Amino acid sequence: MTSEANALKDDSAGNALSRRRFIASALTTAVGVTIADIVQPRGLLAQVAPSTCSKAGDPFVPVREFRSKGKKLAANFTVKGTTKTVATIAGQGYQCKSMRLRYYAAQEALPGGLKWPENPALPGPGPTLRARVGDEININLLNALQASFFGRTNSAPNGCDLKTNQNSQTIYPGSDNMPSCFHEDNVTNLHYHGTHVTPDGKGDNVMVDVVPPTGTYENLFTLPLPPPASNSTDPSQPFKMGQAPGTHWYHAHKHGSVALQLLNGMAGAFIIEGEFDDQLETLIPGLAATEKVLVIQQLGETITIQPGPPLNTCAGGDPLPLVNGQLQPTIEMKPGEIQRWRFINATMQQASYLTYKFLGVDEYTASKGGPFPSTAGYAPEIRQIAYDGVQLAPERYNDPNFGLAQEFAMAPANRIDILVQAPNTPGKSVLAFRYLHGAPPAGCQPRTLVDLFLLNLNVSGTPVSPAMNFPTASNYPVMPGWLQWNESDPRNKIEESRTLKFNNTNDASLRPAINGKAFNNMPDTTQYVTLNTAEEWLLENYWDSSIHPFHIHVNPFQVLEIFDPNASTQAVLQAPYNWRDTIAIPSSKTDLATGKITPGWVKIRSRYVDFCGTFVLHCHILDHEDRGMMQKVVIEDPNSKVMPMVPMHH
Amino acid sequence: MGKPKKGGFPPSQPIVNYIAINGGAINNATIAWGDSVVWTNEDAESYKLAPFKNGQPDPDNIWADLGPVGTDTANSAEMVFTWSPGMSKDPIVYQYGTLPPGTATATITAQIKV
Repeated sequence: MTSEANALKDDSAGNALSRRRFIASALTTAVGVTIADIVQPRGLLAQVAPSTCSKAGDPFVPVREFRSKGKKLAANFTVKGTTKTVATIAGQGYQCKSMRLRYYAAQEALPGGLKWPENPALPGPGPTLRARVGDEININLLNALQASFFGRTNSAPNGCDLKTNQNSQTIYPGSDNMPSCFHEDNVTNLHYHGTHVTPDGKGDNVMVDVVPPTGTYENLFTLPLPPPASNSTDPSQPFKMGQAPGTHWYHAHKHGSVALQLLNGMAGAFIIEGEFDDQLETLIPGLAATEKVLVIQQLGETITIQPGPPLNTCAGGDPLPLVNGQLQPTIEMKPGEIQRWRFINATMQQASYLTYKFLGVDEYTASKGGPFPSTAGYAPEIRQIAYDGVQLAPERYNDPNFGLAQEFAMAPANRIDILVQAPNTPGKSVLAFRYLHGAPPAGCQPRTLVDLFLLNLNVSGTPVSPAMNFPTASNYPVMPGWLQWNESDPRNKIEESRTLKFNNTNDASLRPAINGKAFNNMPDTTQYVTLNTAEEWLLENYWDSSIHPFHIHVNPFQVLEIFDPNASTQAVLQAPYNWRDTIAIPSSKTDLATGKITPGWVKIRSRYVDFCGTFVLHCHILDHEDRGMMQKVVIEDPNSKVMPMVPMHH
Repeated sequence: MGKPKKGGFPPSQPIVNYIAINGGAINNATIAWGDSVVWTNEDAESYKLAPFKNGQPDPDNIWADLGPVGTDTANSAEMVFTWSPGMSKDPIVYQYGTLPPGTATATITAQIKV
């Protein structure tokens, strides 16, 4: 750990308004009436907020960006704890609560380097990292958490967190056991979600434990450049993948504390630029200058536990998602303007599986409590251009189900990039959302909210000139060769098929599991894959109560088919298939008369290339992951056997 | 956990209520069902906290065992206040105090909504 990270000051005195947030508040005051005043009934305001909480309608505030310089992005991240004031709308209306949260205090590792956050008392993600393919990434992580700032972590005899109630009854761990239970709340590490780099050593290594108050770990890796063009045409060579330029992110990934640390807000955007961005900028000059990075979070202090069996867990409540720590901020655009918006779903619970649509204020107000109206009213037009940080193929960009759709869905960990074109006249819209998740487990989400919109859009001023236009079917960027899948290329032959059942343990405890087993760090919860092979996997979900967003590290996959038994739809998708790194497996449907369970399922295929090593696949509802819905993946080179890594302490 | 609202469980997001012990005194607190409590000892002496039974802190039901300020055990673990079917829907007041008795007493009122 370098001196810069150690020099970061303690944040305990950060209660003043940040300058940006102060200006934002002042602007709102000057305008007098915000869009939120129009669309949010005053009766919902159950409590007056302290001045430090964000208010609905405040101007959108971007997160500070740390950008690579000279092909290198170096930063020091210190994990700290402090009291933050968090605004949300939950079942009891507007609430501004003080919360003790873990967060990243970061600084660029160069003289006079930028710091983030400006005001630790305000909630939100870590700094936005922005680099380009081929750049070197060097992040020094210092875990400076002071355990005494939070509640003590008492351990049950089996090492899991011990939680009791007012009658001194144990409500956790129940049947959970190590390593798949909530434990080591203050131990951490970093996952670079969406990167295609080595999972071992200083790469995207989540098998390390960084222990407070002085533990450190250095990540040092290079984002792969696109392979040469001959890569996709010469079957005599091993196939290579590049790093997909796109909207990625970083977050804590210590098994046992992932859910809690993301609920606290330990995540941030990782924007990787490349040729796709250059092509878009050529098609729409000025696009990069107005780009918006929107990190969606639900923040909280503690995991809610509903004693079982089955023991259920979740974030609790149903707080409205925040954008960069702000509640329903306002983004400004000019009439006719096109902006690129990058969304990152950095939440940890199923209640954030949402579908979004722009609606005019009148249409939004009239549709509260019901489905999206068929007429959007005054609303921008959108084009989806990327899923999970990987660009869409031109065919999918021009597909009514994807690029042309005016609605988009995100499960936890999903990212979506859209082009937003404001109407040609001034006006106001909201980005409304609706729940997609099924009936929640007992004790978790009551779904009482009616004020369902993420942000405001205010279009004002004179129209842009010259007129801005979306890419067309003919000029939209083509997929690079390494993102294509040539069926006749022998390197793409499916060598093995696997089925992963996202279900419960085969005992009365019914813990979250894959193929009936909670992750135990042993071979029976490990997938062994051969380097330079392609595989097809069937992912089945046996939970009626929840989707399971499947995520695998290091290598993205293509989604071939999706079956949702509750909608009775089987979508056989069309090639070229979309690349993803996280896909929501639809929930199952149980026939109450016969007890027969029809699982939801997703069929995917992937190439396991470039990197041997050990990483994980898991459900990205992170309390499911912490409690066992995870497996290790070991990529082996038959010519050079790689042994599974042993977790390391630092 | 759970709040006895008709039809289900608490709509409010659970939080952790940090209750300080300072100068041997403890403030009363009002919390929502499903919330947690963490006691933080700001004194140089150790304390044990227990709910009242027969007018005295019950030594057989220790809620928290707190070390002196500045030590790793100065904060308690989270204790979750849970409502379960059969309990009153009116606020419930828990009286508790330090052991041995006589140093400090306080109340926690658990209710549907804070």
